[in-house]
Amino acid sequence: MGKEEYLIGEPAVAYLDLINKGNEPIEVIDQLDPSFGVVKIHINSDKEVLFRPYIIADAVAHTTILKAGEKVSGTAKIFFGGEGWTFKKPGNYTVKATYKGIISIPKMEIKSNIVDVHIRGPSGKAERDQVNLIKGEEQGLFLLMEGGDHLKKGIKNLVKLSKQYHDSDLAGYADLALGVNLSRNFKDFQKGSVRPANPQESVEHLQKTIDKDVDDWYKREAYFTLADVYKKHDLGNATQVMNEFVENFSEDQKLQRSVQKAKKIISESNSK
Amino acid sequence: MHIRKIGKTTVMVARKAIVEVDKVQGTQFPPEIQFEGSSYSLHSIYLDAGVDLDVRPDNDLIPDMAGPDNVYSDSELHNLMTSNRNPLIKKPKKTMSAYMVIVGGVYQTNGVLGIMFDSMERTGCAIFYGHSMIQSDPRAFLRTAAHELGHEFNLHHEDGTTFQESSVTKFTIMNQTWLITPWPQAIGYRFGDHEKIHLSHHNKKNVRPGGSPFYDCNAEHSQWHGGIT
Repeated sequence: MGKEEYLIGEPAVAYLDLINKGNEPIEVIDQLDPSFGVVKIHINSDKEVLFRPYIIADAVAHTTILKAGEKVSGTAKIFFGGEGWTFKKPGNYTVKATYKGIISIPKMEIKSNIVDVHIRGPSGKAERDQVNLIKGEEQGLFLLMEGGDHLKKGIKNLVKLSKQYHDSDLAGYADLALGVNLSRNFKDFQKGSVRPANPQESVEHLQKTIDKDVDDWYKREAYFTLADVYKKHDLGNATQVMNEFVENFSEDQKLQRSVQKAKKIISESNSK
Repeated sequence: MHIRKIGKTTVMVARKAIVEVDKVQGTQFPPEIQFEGSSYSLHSIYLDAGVDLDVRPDNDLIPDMAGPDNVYSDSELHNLMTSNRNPLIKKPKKTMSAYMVIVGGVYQTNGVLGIMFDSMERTGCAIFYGHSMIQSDPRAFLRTAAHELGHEFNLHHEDGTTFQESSVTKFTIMNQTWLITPWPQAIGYRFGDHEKIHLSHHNKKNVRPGGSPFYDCNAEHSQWHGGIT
């Protein structure tokens, strides 16, 4: 997990590493998002329950050959699923993953280590207000999908959180989802039209996320989306954003794949 | 339970169900196919499992807004599904009523043929006609449509089984696509024993979309998943 302790309503992300600890290369499915069904997340508080992703995807397999000692990494947004918010009340939880995607032994199940997660309740009126603003069904869905113009009630509450409690960390998550949503066009079938991206507003939201104490994965999202918006709309220096990301996260083991990706973007930009 | 005769075959029908199928302009509805000398359709696959599925093509004029990137995000698909469902066909308290939409583009993640949204209502499923496999191989299109619909009726990948036919191991509908090798010989256009029992005999509340959360069923069904509930 990105943190050992989360405020209730704070979007929690599980970091997944699949490591070949054997001596021989092995072909594995590298689609680690639980939506694909290869990885399952088990959450235990009073009893163990299976985390049910909101989206069930059926796909052709994407595989990787892992040499001895190599790993493939992924993330799972586990805060919201088919049954709404996962961590419904404060308390101690454990999280573990199982994996079933070794091509030569498809029935073999691999179990992860078990991770402790503490979900804390709000302290004081201000935090209670923040939690109330983020913990609705539509807010959860909007945070999970990082978009959805039709989720009006959810957007209204997240905007309120962003404005009214702009210094709070929870607002950082709201700003990320609002910023990502506005960074791209949205095909709105209710209106029968495409809502164009709003890069200026997107940038304002994303910059706020970067300054907050949010889970590193969300900071990573903010940096990469910001760089993308800068590049597409010529609003700023995308390479500088990627440099800043590398500077801040080069030691973060969970984000090494992203650091490599950022370095590649910088290198390509410098060679032009 | 009643008996229905389809051609020369007699089948036991346990339940009736409706699926509303919408499609974005430029796509097709799920096809009927010929495979190894037999005809298959969504209706025939479900009838074999005891479900008389009324496949109702509805809105075939949804504008294609995929744009140059041809990609649909989760939020756009959610918007599409929640805004196009015909309230006259959606009668969740009276019948098993499912929803499917065929979209012209591809999913935001590579390689995905279809998805189902697992809200409490198991909202609906989408098939990605923009994926080359769906567009060029009617066998994959039909199988994916039957599979996604199975999810809406609370079937899971773990419910899939295998059977032998002409010395080939065939994989039933709910198996994940990646297990099906060799393609297409290993496709089984039918539900296996577990899938059939669920569709035709488990409590209707646990089968129909809108009836219960995904995976919620009975002890028997849970056992097929190794105890996952």
